[in-house]
Amino acid sequence: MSRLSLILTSARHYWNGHLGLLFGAFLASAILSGSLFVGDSVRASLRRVAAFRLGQIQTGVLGGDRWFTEKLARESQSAPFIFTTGSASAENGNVRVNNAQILGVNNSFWSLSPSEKKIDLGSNEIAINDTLARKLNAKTGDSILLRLERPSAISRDAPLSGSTNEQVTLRRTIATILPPEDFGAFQLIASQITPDTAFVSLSDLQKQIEMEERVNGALSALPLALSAEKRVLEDFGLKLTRVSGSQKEWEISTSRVFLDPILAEKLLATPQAYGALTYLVNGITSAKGGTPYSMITAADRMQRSEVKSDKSEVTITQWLADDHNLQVGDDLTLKYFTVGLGRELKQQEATFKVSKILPMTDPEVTKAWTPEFPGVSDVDNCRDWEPGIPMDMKAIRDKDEKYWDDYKGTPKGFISLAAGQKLWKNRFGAHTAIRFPDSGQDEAALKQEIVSKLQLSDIGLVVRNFKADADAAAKGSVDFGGLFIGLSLFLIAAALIFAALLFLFTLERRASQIGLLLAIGWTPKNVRRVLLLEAGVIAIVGVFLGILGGRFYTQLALDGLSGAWNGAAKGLPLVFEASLTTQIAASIGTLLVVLLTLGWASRKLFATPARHLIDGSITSDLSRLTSHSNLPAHITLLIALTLIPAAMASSNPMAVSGMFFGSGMLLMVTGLLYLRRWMQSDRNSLSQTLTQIGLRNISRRTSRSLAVIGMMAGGIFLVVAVNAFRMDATDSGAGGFALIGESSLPVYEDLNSKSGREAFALDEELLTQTTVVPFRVREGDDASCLNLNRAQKPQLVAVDFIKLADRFAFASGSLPQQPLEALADQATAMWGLGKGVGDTIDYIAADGSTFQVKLTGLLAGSVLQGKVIINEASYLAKYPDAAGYRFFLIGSDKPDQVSAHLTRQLEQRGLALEPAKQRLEAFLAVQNTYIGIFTILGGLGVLLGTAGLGVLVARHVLERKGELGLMQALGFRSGALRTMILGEHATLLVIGVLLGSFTAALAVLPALKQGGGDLPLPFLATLIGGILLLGLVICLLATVLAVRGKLIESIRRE
Amino acid sequence: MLLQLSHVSKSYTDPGSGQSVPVLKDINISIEAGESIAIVGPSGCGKSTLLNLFGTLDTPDSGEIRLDGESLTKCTTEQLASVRSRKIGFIFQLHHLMPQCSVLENVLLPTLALAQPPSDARQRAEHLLSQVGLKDRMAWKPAQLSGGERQRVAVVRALINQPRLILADEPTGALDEKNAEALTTLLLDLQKTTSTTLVMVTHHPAQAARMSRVLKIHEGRLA
Repeated sequence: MSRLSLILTSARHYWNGHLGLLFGAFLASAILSGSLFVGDSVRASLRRVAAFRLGQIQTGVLGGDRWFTEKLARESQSAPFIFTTGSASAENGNVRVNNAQILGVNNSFWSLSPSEKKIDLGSNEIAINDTLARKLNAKTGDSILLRLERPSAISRDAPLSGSTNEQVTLRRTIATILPPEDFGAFQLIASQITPDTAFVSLSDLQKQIEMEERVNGALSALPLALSAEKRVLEDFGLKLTRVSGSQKEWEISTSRVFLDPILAEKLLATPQAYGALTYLVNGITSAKGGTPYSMITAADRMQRSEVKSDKSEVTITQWLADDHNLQVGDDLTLKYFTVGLGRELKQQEATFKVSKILPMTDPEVTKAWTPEFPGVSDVDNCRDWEPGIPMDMKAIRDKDEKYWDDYKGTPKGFISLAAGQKLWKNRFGAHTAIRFPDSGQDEAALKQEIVSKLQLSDIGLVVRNFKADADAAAKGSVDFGGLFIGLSLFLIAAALIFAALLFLFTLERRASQIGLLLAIGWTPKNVRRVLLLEAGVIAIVGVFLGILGGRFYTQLALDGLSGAWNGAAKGLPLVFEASLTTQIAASIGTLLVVLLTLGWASRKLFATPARHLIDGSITSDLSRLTSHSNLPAHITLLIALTLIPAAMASSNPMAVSGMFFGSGMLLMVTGLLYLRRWMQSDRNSLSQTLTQIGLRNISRRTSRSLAVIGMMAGGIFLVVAVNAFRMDATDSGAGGFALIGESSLPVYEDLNSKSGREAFALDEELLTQTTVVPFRVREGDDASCLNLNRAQKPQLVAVDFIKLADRFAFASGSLPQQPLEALADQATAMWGLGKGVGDTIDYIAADGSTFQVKLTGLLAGSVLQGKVIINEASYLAKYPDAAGYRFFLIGSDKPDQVSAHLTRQLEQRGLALEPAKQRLEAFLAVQNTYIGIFTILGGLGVLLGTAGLGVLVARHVLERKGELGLMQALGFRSGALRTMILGEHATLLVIGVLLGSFTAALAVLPALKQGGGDLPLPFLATLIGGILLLGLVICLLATVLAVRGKLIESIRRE
Repeated sequence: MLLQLSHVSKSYTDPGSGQSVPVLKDINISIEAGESIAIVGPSGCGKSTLLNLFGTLDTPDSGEIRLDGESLTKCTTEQLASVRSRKIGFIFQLHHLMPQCSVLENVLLPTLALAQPPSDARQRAEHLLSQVGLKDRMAWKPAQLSGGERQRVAVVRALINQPRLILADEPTGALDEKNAEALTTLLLDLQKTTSTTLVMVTHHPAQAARMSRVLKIHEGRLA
């Protein structure tokens, strides 16, 4: 005989009494382990997706609109590639897929794929992934059309950047359809949703978009280093040329027209270097004449007095002087465009005094000053110019054509650099050339020397660790394990309470045994330990079975997430995984929780003196454990009431939710504490009716009654409180906009303006009441709840905030007022980014520097999920090269017609529109899906609570069979006794339901009002009514079953 | 002196009125080793309370209790449990045998309360069980025994740790007259052969008369 044998013998002997404990432990273990397995499975699925989308890729560079030499990538042991977006259409034109990834790749790219399978693509061939193939309903051998934009060296927002209509259409035959393992899931941003992708041969694509030997990306399976020795000037978009003027000079210019400020600053550090800014003015006027479209150069030539002029003076050429019959001292006015937001141009003018007239033979009068303006420098005829600005071709005279024939872009005037920069400096730069003396240096050596002063990061070419980002994104992803534990918490709690309740029933039956052990010298600690270990033996079996059940639960959850709940794990192909660590952790965790629960639940029993326990009594001497004061209830009430105004004053949405929820919970606890006091005080009153006697029975076992009320109230509270957050798409969530849209290619034009509408032949009449709010988009991770990964670089978008004023409801904060203050959707900030008002997010600017944006406003349930939004001006200051808009909110009185019209007219830009509410519903579906899951699991918990109530009824009746027999003997009829028993337990049920409902309503009402929502009353009423009805039926059944037969027999037996 | 009570008083709080109700008032008793004592008195006079005080299952409001010369007044719960396991054996009106354990296991149960269970516990148990005529019932479960046999097992259980003091609270209360008589005889025989002290609460004057001393309690005082 040992304690162990006693434990095992007792566990075996009382196995049927422990079935409730076994069931509770099984259920808790199944749910806990199942929830954790769901987490394991989602993480494994995300890892699998990341492995497919990145293959062997570790690091890389994404240049965007910065194109560098293919040679640099090759010599850095990386795979050069072109990354762009466009639209893909089936040959018959019936289906068009917007926003497809279009990649130019060679064999080195395929060696990075998960399978490393080489895909040879001929010049007329294309490989597409199975996602795109499915959408286009295309198969190998079919032809498809790709439409993409020919890249421009200069931002198409820049003045004089040429035409915006530079699109390329490729018709290619599908050579192969790629599955995920062959890079069919290739994607550099962390998302579980596979993008539509088309792969074209690199050389083919380079040729088609006129970017031979250039790429805008490089990928490597190793840590990538673009070493200084390998870089060339072309990688920076720079060109070094010898220019001849009055002195021999070197000139550094750029194919981007305007030199990046950071590069210009570094280049100006060259000894005796000076900058020049040449600009196309719309016209030169004077009192004596006018000349259209001419180049003017702003350059300081300190060492050459003949060109020196202060900012109010201009040196002109003889041709211009002759054209106007100008003399030194005459006034001359320059008319020119400046760039606003987008391609918005403002014509302005400035007047100068002629200080000098240079003969056309002067060595300074040369076209070398003029950079290569797209659409200007490369044409033979003035009338063929397409500079990307509105031009009055009629203003061009024959003599202007003659000038172009003779002198091309030779400037007609010179002003000081300061004067020129004052007029024409823009976000793209303040110089078009840097010049310095030519002292006979070797050109190759000079180029190398210049390159050594520059960093690729100066132009935003920064090596990124895609693998590390993917790991961080998967690691920080939505924790479905935690989420499911959270969603099932009440069910777990209900299982534990159920287990504890039935364990206590068993222990109470064995009270005299406990008393005996104490009497014969066992210490209370040892008795408790032995009994809990006995429970532990049962719990171990339950937990083990629960782990097996957990696998089933996980499978059900994964099926749910792939089916009815697919809103929560959109696009993720789920695989099952239950790691050994998780299984062990779940087993130990559940066992500990079960034992702690049982230990806590049985504390009163073990505090009962042995002399009472021997008699089978456990009610005596418990007074020291029972508070006779209302103080705890008063304190919780006070805290709950204090939390509500505190929550309303808080700006942190997480704190607001937490405080309201906490306040509701505390109110419920307060209710339970007051009930406990009522039950204790009721013991001393005089019962004069059968109903009163029934009610007295409620207070007979205070803890049992409170456990049932608590379980019911807790369940109702959680289900009601959480369901109150079920959201419908509202006008404020859509900002009052009817449509939301995205385009594959940027739209440069202002679709609200006459010129913008003319550019796309839009129907002015139809669009009278239509307003388009365009957003600039910087590619980044989707931080919306549709992305399960934790966004590492959330998508940054920009808008003119004035256009959003009074449009959206704020959950906290307000519309940003200062530069680099940002707006985000509340759900995006809280769950996607883990941020609140006042927090900052780091971004890398175009010049490679890091800057922070600060969240100052959070939108409530908005259509702008997934994005961090800053003001357009701040954005352009950080990304001066940004061109065009790719995201749109559209307000319209005729949304259907406008949507069809805009989609048709902007087809070439790949504009796809959908009703804003539809998008909002897609976002809200995720949240609503979680609530749906919680409701089901919470509902199961309440069901278990109701079953617990049934057990309680049966137990109560069995315990009181003798006294019920006595009452029958005294003349009470069975029906009256059943009514009494039903009444007392129905009271517990109703109190639980009411307490849960009222506290939940109280807790969430202010939050709902703030968010503009409303309680889904019909749904909640049905839910509560259903619970109430089910509870009553269970009580009735338990009562009828327990009170059947002749109760009077039991008194005879006694 | 085995057990000594000096000026011991005990009262309980009435749950209805909240008033203190005295049960034992200024009790002074000295019990020598080897004595057999009967405690008698009407229902509610405090007999069981006195026995609980003897057995350290309850503590006095005032006064002092000494067992084997050791004061029990300031002992902790753990120390009192140790005292009970080593020095006191209990027999209750109901046998309180563990239904899941065999006769032998029930007898050995008190040895598990000792810090170091004696190595000869099993032999002692078998010896005592054969003394009470239950040697062939050792593997039986309590449910298979008669009422008298169960109570004899309870007697052996009380003796297994060789206590100095056996406390019996109406041990024959649930037995018929014949079995009650036999059990009393057995108790007295064992008390003599094991040189222990027996204190028994009883309502039967005949049983009380067989003890070496009778303590009468009336309205909380020794009469």
